Amino acid sequence: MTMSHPQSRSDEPRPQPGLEGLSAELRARLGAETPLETPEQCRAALVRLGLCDGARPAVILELYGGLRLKAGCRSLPLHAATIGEALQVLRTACPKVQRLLPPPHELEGHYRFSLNGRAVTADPDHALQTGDRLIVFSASVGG
Amino acid sequence: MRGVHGHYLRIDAGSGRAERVPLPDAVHRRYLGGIGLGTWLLLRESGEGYDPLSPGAPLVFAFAPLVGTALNTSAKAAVVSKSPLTERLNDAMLSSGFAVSGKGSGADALVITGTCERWSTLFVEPGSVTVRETPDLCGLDASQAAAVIQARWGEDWDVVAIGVAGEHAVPFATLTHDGRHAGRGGTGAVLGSKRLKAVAVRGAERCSPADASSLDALRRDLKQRSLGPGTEKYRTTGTLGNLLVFNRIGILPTQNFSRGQDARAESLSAEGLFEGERVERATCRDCMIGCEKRYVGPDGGTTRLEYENVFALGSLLGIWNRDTVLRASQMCDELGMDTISTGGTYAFAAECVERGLLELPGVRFGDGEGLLTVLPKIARREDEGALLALGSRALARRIGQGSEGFAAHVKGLELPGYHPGGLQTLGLGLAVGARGADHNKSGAYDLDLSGSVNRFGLDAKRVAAMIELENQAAVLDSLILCKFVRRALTDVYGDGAQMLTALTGETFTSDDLRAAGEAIHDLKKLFNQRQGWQAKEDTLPSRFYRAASNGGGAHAAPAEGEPEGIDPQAFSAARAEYYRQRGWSLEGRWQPDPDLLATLRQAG
Repeated sequence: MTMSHPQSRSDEPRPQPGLEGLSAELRARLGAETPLETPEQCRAALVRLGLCDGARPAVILELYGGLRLKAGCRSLPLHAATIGEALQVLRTACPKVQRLLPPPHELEGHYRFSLNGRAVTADPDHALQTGDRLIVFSASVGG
Repeated sequence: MRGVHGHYLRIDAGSGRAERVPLPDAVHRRYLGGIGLGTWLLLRESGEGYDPLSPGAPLVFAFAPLVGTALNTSAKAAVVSKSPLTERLNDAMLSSGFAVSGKGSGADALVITGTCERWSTLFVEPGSVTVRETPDLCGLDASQAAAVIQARWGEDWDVVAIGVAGEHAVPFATLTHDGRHAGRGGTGAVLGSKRLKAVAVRGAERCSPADASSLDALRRDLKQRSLGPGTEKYRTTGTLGNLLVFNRIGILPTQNFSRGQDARAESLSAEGLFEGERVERATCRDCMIGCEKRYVGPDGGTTRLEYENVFALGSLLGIWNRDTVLRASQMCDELGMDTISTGGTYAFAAECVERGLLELPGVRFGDGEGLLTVLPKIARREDEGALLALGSRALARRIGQGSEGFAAHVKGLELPGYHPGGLQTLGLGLAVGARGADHNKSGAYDLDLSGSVNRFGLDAKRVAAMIELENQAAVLDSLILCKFVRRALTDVYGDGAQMLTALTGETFTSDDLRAAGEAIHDLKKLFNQRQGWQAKEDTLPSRFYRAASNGGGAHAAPAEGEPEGIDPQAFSAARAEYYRQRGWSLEGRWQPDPDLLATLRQAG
């Protein structure tokens, strides 16, 4: 029996950590002519668009499941002081997620957040620190 | 009471005789239907310490009040028996049309005993039970057998069938209906032990609701809520959406639970599939959510995408080729084998081979071709497949040499795709579960990932919340509603009580349903006690515990990707608290009320 072997993702140029899988649509929204090769450039583009405050901590938002598919990116470097603020940046940068991602004050019960892969919280007011990787996933983990 | 028929059928497959046995309303009031009813019937119809594959061993198909109401996700039945894998209670769920047609045949449950002389199919419809010899169906997979039955006797039959594994009494053989499975614990072997290849049901005997307009309103409301954010994951990516995030937070079981993470996980992810491939959505009958996702291959053939299948035949075995994993999943479905137990046993054997404790050709971590080669041999108990068909517990007992410490099962049921090292409340839930390592009956991962507890620790304070999740799961399995609709409900007890009140015409309250959840767990405990359960079974293999420290001090954090160990003292204390809060003895035993025992002894 012959099995096809899909091209391994390791054959593709490795993206910068924290800037993975930006779709063409999102790139266009951030500025087609804007360099977006590094997390810092991505954050600068969001600041220029008025979507986030450059004085806030510099973090990376990691997306999974439906959010990833709708947002058009695997992760989004941005500035945010809290989890809720980070999600609001995502909602405005990627309007297609709005159907899946209610405003922060309506998030109760639907999503969970892990900071750096260890602690888990359901609190959108949880504070972020520069360097944090915020993992957003569905609260429905039954399978 | 409206909404139920008020009797069950006691069927002897050997003679084809069926007896209609009255079912008091009090049983439905106390235990609802589904798992609760099925466990009660199993207790009533069986004795102590019996062989689950003997002619006298009952196999119970239990329907439920909400079945047939078209309430979203209500088309399910419970399949309850003693497991040949665990020798303990096996309460499985089976989705879709069989449940509706089964209840439509005019009974609240079917209790099947006996053995046919030749391989046969059992047909049940209003007023008629027939056993027809169908030896030509042997060797077919379940879906093929169902298609033949429908072509021969009518498309209006809903059929549940076994594959080759059930014919060979593999203790983790499944029952299959419409591509869905009563998958765990060997229900397929139990049906096969009766030389029944299939059970076919049909009928339209409906139980009219007491308050149709209220039930209609509840139906519309649940339908609307089922399309909201509470079910988004299931509607979008299905359960496979778990894999990549589990890997990210270190709870994706990898290489026989030796790790919780691997850099290659992306290759098996739902995200990767949905981004680049064609995926179809399918639904069970009476379901708006449509969690079922099917990958459409280049040849047009489809393969179900389920998290448990992909973890058990992929990451657990160190196999990261998507096509191989999906093919293995499809083969397990065709052969009629539980993917979790198949993968779990193979993973255990692969580690034994790696450690030099066992010699088995083609059984190695990362060997996709070896896996695909051995799967049919497991189903037929041939060559090296005969050893793997034992299951990990029996295989570990045979190998010895300390291998029991890394045979990842509880009571013989292999662990599902949630690493207990990073979900320690679930670790406790798996250990104390009546069925063995069943994440669905526990649901404690919800607590571990709630943000309200430390998922890398265990304490007595969280036990109450853990019990609450178990009780809610039992109520959902007994109403019946699918657990994937859980987050669309405001309150399992309150919403369930409203539905039952509108349907039955009798007043049910939240307290009634909460009490039902507790009572159902007591029944499960009673059955296991009768089959010889001992407290030492309520534990995890030693692999999952933190090694004893050498002279105190804080334990060293594990390396990245390696899971945390559970503190054995904290585990023991939490388990003791669990028994106490369940109202059981220090040794975890339940003393039933004499009135209940009298009810169970009454002849029908």
